[in-house]
Amino acid sequence: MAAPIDLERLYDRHAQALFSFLLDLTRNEADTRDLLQELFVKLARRPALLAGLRDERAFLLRLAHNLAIDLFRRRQAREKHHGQLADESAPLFAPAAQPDEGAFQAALETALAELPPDQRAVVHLRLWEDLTFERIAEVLNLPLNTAASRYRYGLDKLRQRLRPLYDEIN
Amino acid sequence: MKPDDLESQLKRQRLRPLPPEWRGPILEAARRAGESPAAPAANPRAPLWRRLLSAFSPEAALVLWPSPGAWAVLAAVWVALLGLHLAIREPGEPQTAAAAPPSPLFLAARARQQRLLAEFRRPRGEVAPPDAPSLVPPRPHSQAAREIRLT
Repeated sequence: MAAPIDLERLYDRHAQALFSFLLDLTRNEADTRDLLQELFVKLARRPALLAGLRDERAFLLRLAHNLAIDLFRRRQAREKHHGQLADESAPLFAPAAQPDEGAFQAALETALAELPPDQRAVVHLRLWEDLTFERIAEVLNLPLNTAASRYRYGLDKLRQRLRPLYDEIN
Repeated sequence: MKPDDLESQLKRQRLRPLPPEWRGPILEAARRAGESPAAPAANPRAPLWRRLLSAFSPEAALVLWPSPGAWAVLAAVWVALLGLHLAIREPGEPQTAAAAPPSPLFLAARARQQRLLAEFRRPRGEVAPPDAPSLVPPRPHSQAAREIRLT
């Protein structure tokens, strides 16, 4: 029998990263909460999942990604809108202090929402989790080159979308 | 705009903080789930079949467990149908009806087919053996085919 896991420690250490990642994927606060809870319930039910891990964060991000994909698939079967974001688009970033920064954030959120979910996941993990492409490939179960190319395509799209505003405020 | 400029600008964006009020309910739900019968490791009193199934496939156990009553009813219905089937069957009734012997028309058609096949396989130049006498009198092909279909 696997040893009981320290859920509080796991939550305090990783929940913020999981929250941001899930929110970026779903853009829906209720879905994010449900998925986060589902993830911790899964861990509580199967503590053996965490045995012998060399990178807890990468494993949890992978679990979160799989749960989000499952949710998209359930939605696809039910509502035929795989990959599309919910009508409500929850804010991804903390409120900005400067108006320019706020405008940039809003544009960035819109641009991110327009990325395909596969590219969005890679971009998020690279930019805000600071993962290497090797780690991203592990988390998303992708070949290394695919992870790198998805990041490049995603960043190109963000650049095209954000260029005018970025040039204006800099 | 240099690529690195945008990347560093994007990295500087502060992500929204996790709502602190989520912590309690999520951890409570996880704790409850860990103690529920759905967790065989945490519940050694789970039925033997479930522990065996969990050892083989935890996902299958999680699927089956939430409604054991429904599965029991399904099994009972299946047993009832099996019993009914056995009860209404005649004691000496054979499992399958004996196959009827093939009709002469069918045999003739098959023999013709085999001859044709042998003819196709024969090397060029070789003389075909004479046809065996037919079991049925000659008739138009359409009529023969209709009779074969009817038998």
